[in-house]
Amino acid sequence: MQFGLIFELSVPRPFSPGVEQSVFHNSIEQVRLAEKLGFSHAWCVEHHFLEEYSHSSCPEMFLAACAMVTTTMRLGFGIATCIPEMTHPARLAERGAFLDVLSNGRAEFGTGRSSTWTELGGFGAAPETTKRTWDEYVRAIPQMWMQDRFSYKGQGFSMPERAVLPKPVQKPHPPMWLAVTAPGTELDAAERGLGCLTLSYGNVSKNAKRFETYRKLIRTCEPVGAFANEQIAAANWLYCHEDSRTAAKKGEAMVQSFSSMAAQTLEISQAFPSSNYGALGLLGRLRADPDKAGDKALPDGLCIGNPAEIVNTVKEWESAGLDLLLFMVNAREVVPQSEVLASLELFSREVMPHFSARPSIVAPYRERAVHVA
Amino acid sequence: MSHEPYQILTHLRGGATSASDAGWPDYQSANRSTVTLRNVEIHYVLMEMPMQDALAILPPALHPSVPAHFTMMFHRVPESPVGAFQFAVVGVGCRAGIRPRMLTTAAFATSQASADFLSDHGQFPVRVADVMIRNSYYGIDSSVSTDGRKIVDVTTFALEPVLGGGAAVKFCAPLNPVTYVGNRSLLQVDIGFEYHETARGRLEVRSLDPAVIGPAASMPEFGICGVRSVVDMEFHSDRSIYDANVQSEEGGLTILPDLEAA
Repeated sequence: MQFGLIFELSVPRPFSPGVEQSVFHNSIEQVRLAEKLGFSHAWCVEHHFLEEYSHSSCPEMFLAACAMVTTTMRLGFGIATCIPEMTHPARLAERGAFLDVLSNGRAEFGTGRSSTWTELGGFGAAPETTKRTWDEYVRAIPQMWMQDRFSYKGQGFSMPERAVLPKPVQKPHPPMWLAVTAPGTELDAAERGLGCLTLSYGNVSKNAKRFETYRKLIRTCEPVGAFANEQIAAANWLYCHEDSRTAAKKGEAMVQSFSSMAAQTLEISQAFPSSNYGALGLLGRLRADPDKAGDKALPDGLCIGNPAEIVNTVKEWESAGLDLLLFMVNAREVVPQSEVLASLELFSREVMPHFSARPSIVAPYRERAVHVA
Repeated sequence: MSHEPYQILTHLRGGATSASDAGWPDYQSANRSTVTLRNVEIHYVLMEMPMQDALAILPPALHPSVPAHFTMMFHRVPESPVGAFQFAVVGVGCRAGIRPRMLTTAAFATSQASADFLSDHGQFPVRVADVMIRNSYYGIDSSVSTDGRKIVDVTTFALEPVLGGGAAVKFCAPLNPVTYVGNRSLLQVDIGFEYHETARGRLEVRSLDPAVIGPAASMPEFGICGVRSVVDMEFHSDRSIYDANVQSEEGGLTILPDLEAA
């Protein structure tokens, strides 16, 4: 089991001068400390127009800053949105490779297609075509990295022969992932040999079945890149405190703060009925209906509690087959920075040793990856 | 930074306080039983609107969706306790806490009997008007006319069937303005839907009087989509009322006694 951080860069109103700077630089400070404490990954999502919820519109810039204050951490660019109206696939390949060069080969590349009208509508994107264009992107981008020059004629995009530059440091290319939320998306990841990055925040038993399905299917996959990245990561929340009740109170405030912001966005499934957005999309768990009794409580599997409680929770995830836990450690700055850092330190001191003396930090992905002849 | 630690609620919230008393009738607990309208054809229209307009319309208890939007729902009811009728409801998309809801700003029905029916089942602020929903080879047309003037005229064309879970359109529960124990309040109308078919298409708005959205609303420019569904609608008895000035997390939600059991 490895541990990392994942950032949405959520910013509280009022948007007074300095508030975004504070959030961004607090997050970088968390990354700097986390590497020293043994955390192996820092991921940063891509979102647009999501007021308060996420101001992370240029994640690779954030990660470039992280690269400058770390030496070993893997840096997850994503979820990069694979939508033509937002970004040409060559631009995504360039940005992923650029980060890989800057970080001396530490980039991870996560893919997805967005699930809100707030984002897709803002760019004039067609929600009904996002799955198709995502599929084209994830097949084209590794070729752009590996081929000297690349050309393509497809449905979502076409381009004449060009050298997509720079080329990544990691050979044949950085590991690729898919954001997995709606049921069945883990199959899409497995079919293409992509890492499974689940964003369902909790629910161990429910996810365990999906992990098992993913593990079985990826063994017979046809990777879209040069290798299958058979790894499962899950986003989660972390607030670790010696006192269980204090942890619960502050952790719950953090989760509720973020959930309330997630709920204000306009989901595709609400605004634009579509066959390819049938289930709750991004962070569906955070958009739970409070009128349904079963949805009221926080889900199981969140890493909120005292060290002993969190050890037990992590063991459950480990038993479910998870490789990597990615923690959200704050939301809209509801927890003061000093307490966030203390939570990370306590987790490192009291929880991590139960799983590894010190993780190897840079996972030897290509050694672990299933190479397909 | 000036924010409060551990804050949960956003600062972005509606501020409308100047609605006339006429728009907030006393709550009448007439809705004591469940009524089902079968095979109702719905034409559902979503459009974006300026955030400032939404904030001006929504009361403090409600948060606008991001982006701000409004909906128009046209209904053709083939059979009901008051016979066949057509009605339309216009509202601003919003959130009560994290619950997706729609603040009703206008409602129209084709007869006094149907207006009374809708008043008895959710206290919709209904005016009698000429509401029309018609299918054609290219899509579905809906309109509302009052005093011989067409105030809404919209078409959804190039309809494509929606399959699977997406066919279960997430219609937001309407919140209708009432006065409850002396406070400006919002009565939630709980409607269950059973979906028979759904298709989505592109919008063409031929005319729209922004006054149906709000007295100072500007003309919306960006459509989202139009949907045609055929559903069974189950109107439940009144269940909950929100204080219009207090967010639900701060105690603004009142759960009503079970009126069906009373």
